[in-house]
Amino acid sequence: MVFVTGIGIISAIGKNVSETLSSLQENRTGIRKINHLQTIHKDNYVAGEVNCTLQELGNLAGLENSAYNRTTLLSLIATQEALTNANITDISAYRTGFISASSVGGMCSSELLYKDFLENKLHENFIDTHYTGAHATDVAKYIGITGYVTTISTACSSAANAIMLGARLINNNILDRVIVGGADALCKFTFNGFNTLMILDKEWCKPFDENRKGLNLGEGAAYLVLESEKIVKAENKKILATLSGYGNANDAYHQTASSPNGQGAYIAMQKALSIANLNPNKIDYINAHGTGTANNDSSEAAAIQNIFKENVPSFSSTKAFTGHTLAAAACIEAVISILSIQHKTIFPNLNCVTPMQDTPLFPVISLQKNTELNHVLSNSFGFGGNCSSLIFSKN
Amino acid sequence: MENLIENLKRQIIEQLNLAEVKPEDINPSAPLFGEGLGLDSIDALELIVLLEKHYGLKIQDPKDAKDIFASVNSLAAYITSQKK
Amino acid sequence: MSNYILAYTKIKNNCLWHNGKLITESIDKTGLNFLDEAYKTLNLSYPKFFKMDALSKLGILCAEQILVSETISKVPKEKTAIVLSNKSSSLQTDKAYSKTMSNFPSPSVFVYTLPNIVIGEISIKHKITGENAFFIEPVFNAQLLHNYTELLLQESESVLCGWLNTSDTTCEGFLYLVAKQTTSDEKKFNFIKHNPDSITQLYIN
Repeated sequence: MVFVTGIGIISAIGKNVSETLSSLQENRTGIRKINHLQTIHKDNYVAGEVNCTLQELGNLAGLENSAYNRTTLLSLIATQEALTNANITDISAYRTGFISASSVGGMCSSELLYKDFLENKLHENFIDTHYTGAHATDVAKYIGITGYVTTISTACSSAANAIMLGARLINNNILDRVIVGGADALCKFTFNGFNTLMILDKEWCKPFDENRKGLNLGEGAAYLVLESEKIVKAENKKILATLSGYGNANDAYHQTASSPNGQGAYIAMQKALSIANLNPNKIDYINAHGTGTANNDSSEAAAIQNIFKENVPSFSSTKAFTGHTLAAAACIEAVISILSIQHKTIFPNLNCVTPMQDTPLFPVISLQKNTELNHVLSNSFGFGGNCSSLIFSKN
Repeated sequence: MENLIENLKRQIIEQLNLAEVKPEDINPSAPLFGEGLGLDSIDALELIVLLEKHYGLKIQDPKDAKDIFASVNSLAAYITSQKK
Repeated sequence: MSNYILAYTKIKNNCLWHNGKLITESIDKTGLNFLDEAYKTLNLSYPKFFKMDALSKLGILCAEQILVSETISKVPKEKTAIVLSNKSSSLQTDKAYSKTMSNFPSPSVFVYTLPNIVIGEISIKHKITGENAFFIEPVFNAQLLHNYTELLLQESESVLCGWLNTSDTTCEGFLYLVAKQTTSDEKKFNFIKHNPDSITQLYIN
């Protein structure tokens, strides 16, 4: 059994759990005009930016003159909150690991400084932290984790895979406690690339809407503290949720598009249900991947229909709140799923008006309180066909 | 028009990395997607880049491009129509 | 039942080896150019190869002889997992994409600016739908791959593991297949026991 005893989050809808919860409860989206990222697409697109300068992020992390890049700072802020939330005072009291996912890593800085470095050998430090794993090494060092530290990079499912690995390490008695999640900062490279694939919506995205035009990019970080039964009992820890199921599969269809019937998604959800030993009809709510692209939402709807048949549970995509936070998405949405369970609330799929024509499925579009949620399924599907599903259960 | 079609064939092979295809292998009236060359959605995006790079023509929505990209002939017809 | 390494392929210094036997080498087609040469030698007949970036080409080549063998063809593809790793992520392709950004950004290059796309390509070619992960580590980490594979074999029947790393001028690939086998198979086919030492030995030799 693996228990979630702490959560930490920073995204466009809040710098911590409390702000995030308020935004979710008050239908307050974080998708807005781009303020901080200096991209040529600044005036043409909206995004889910964390509304802080690099300096402000440094301050939030409790650092005076930070040399850390944006991804590392986001990671550090959310990690610190998760540790405090889990009441961890001595990080080395148990066998502890840190698994952090990222796709951007330090590219947010190196893309700005690369040219100067090539010409004049300036800013050498930033080039050393370009490597995707550098943020994990830096944060682990800062918080004092000396044991198991690694980085997973599997696109938009990365953080889910980090969570899965953490759970397995605990279940197999290799570690007692793992801090798991991911971080990604917005950067020009990402913006430019997604623009080239023509899957960005210039306006506020509409997940699961018939007239959806694409996704909005976002940035942020989130972490869960996973602990073993041994620690929970020994320290009388408050359990926020149980991680009861997880599954991963490859769609084996295309480098970036999902198969029409969502076979990878189907297998991942099936595996998660099997590990959790749950019948599909026990799932009370699905936090969907729901990016707002024509392809994902149709494919995911097809997979959900195939798994749940006549008993499709309530579902929503919260990406119209946060944007698509790439490697951090699965953990940002894991935190949102856990908040759903704790507060007996389904957070709405904002900006969805017209049902899709190729499926009878339609998401929850307004805040639904006083809803007992025993088991929540959270989906995250990444480029490269990497599909992951997690199940969180009420304790 | 013939020159345009021959140029297009070479540009398509180069832009789409069709290393094992020669210009004479491409039937200008055959479908580019599905059968024929069996191109996919990413290839369609590269064709949009090709149109801008070589002919200064910008397509805003890939959905609009379905008819234009049906075959080499339809691509050539589109380019010619835009030059007027 | 123990777990064994059934087959392995290496690409290094413009040579391709399979199960310790040299399959092809090149004197004049070096670095990343070796990849297209090796494709011709292996007679792959897979035109999509030429659309891939160097990392995906490297993965496809290393995976080919392992996955088409008779042993692996008996394992249901949904029960085959893939666990790969490297240190450079997709840096070589990131730089290539970055160059196109100033003029005509290339979608077909951008698609490869993530290290796990190579897993997607291997999965597409061989119709593998099992679990998959990609780790970024500063050096080849036999312990990590071993531990993760042993965990996966509790549910999967075989795991394709390894290290695929490219730079602008070099490529290094080492893929191997681990599966559960009985000890009688081990003697019959000379399979190698799956442990960090044997993995490291195969990697460095």
